[in-house]
Amino acid sequence: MMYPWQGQAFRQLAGERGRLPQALLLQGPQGLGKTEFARHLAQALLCESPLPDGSPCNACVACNWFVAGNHPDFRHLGVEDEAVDEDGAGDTSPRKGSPQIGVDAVRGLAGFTTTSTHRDGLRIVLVEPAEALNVHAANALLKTLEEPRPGTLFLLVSHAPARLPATIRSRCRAVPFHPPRTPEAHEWLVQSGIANPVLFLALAGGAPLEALRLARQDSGQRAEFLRRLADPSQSLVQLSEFVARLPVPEWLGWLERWAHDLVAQKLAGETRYHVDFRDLSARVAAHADLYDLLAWERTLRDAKRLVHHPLNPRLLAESLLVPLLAMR
Amino acid sequence: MIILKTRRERLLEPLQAVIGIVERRHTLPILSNVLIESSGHELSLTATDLEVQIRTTAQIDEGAEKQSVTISARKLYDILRSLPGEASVALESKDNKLTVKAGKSRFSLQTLAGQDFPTVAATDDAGIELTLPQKTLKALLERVQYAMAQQDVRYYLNGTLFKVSGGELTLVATDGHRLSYTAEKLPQEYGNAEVILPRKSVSELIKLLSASDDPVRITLRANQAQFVFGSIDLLSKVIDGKFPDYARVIPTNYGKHLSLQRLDLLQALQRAAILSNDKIRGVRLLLSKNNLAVVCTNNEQEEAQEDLDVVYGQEAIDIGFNLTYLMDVLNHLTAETIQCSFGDANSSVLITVPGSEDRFKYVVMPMRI
Repeated sequence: MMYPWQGQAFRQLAGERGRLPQALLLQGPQGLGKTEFARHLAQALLCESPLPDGSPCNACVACNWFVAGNHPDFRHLGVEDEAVDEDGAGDTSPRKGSPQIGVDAVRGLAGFTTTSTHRDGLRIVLVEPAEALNVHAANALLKTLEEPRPGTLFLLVSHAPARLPATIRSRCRAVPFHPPRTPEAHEWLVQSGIANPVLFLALAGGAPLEALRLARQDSGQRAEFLRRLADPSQSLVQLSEFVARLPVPEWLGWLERWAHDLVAQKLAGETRYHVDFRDLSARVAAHADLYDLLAWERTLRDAKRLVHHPLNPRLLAESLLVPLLAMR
Repeated sequence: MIILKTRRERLLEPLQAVIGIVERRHTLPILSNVLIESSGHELSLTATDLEVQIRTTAQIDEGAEKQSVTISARKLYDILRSLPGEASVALESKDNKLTVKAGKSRFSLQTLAGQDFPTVAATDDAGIELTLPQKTLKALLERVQYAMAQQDVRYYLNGTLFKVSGGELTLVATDGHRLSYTAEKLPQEYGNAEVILPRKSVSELIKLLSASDDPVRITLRANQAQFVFGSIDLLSKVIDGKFPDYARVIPTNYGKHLSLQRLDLLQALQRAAILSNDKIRGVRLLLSKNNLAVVCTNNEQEEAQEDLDVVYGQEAIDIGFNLTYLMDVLNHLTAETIQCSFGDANSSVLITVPGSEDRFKYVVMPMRI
């Protein structure tokens, strides 16, 4: 499956069938459907009777296997694989369920990339997200990535290509993904049954899939959170109590965007993410100091690295909220 | 819907042939299943681990027309094995379940659709086809198999080279420290072909081939190798690489020759190995006039020495080897006598079988002890 805003990119890559490089790095913000695109491209390239425009036929054996997740010439390296993988419990292997692709997964590719293919076509490896490769895994991949056997294609999907080792990036041809034009994204969101696409698209920073996810999950918690943040009668303890019940990535995301909105208000009088709270952000920003805001925004960005760390969520929340309370 | 009905052995035998390659844990769940296809009295079972695919056929008493289904190979195997010997078995499928009925037992198993099973595509490439007696191929494989590398980064060493040229079939395996080579004259010219068969296919072939004169039909194609024998059709992928030039490793100009009784040397090595260093596994061979001393020492300064009476009148040599490499070849040969040829203390040893017209060669690199 592919999303409507990806047609152009697909036509371009499918047109290069037979002369694609050995590795493509699909990069861009999260929520644009890069993974789906990569799978679609892989299916199209493995399809044994592709349609004239290069799309998969969805009828041949290869397509059926691909859809059922059984295609023998396709490998997926993702973070789930590592969670299921129970052996290799050495020092180098990450904690179970940790969001990393370990070196064992990469070494496991050896047999796949060096033996002849099952269907006499391409062999495709999807690495997603590529920044989940830990240092050892990335290094183990370098040799194969640089010069695989003919007929091998690596598809690396990355939401944060800057976090990839330069050695990996330099071995791939980058395929940048951009958010679709706003009307196009609005239309798609409306078709997906979202009543208020403007708000959620803004919240997601223009990424339609992220907007869809936010819209489907929205339970009014975000609004409640922001109202409490701005309410001077809320103490730090009350706030952190409220926050501790929510998943860390969720509220940290809101908070980071809120900080961005406040800075944007201060500097340009605009709101980028929480567009439904434009007035509130203007009010809060009015009596906050710009340098404090910028410092706080940076703290939040650093804190994002701790999202999957088993810290006490309440303490984390309190430490991040203190500067804001001083400002209101 | 009844898929088949037959006696237990008729189903168990073909299943036994394919179960060896079914892995317990794999990235694709369907690979732990076996594909069962019935068509009248014909039954075929297929299993694959994506590197090797084995299909066996059998005659059954009663089967549905054109039915295919996949179920867990391991579970079916365990069920069939634990049933009483003369039991009659019926497989019935309904929705996504398959029921195995035998006497008063009844097992209901999860199935996956037969068309989801990733079978290997038969390529148009006709390749090179030759026929050998099963026991010949089995013997050839057994003679070289132990020298294959294991999970080496030089992936082209993790297999056995099959080379057909000039009316001769050559098999070579090496791990970089030792190399085994064997050749067999073919009854006619077949043209040229060169494939590297992966490790797993080689060991599976050895297991499945019988020591009989029945023929095995070998087809070598650019990207797969096929072996058809008895009711088994084994289709293997090949390693996509270039095998090193083995001819340059096999010495041709060695002047010091030594004939030995294979078992005498093997037993001497086995005894000396008791006091060898567990990590290095080194053994010293001291060759002097009419005497071969096998010496092992370990970290505790203990020493084992075995003297063998030999006929040797040339220059004395003091040379070290890895014990395992020597014992491997002695264990896998069947000949009574072997011939060792030496260059000097820094060059390899060539082990051959006298009177076999150069059909077997084994090269071991020395080590400094």
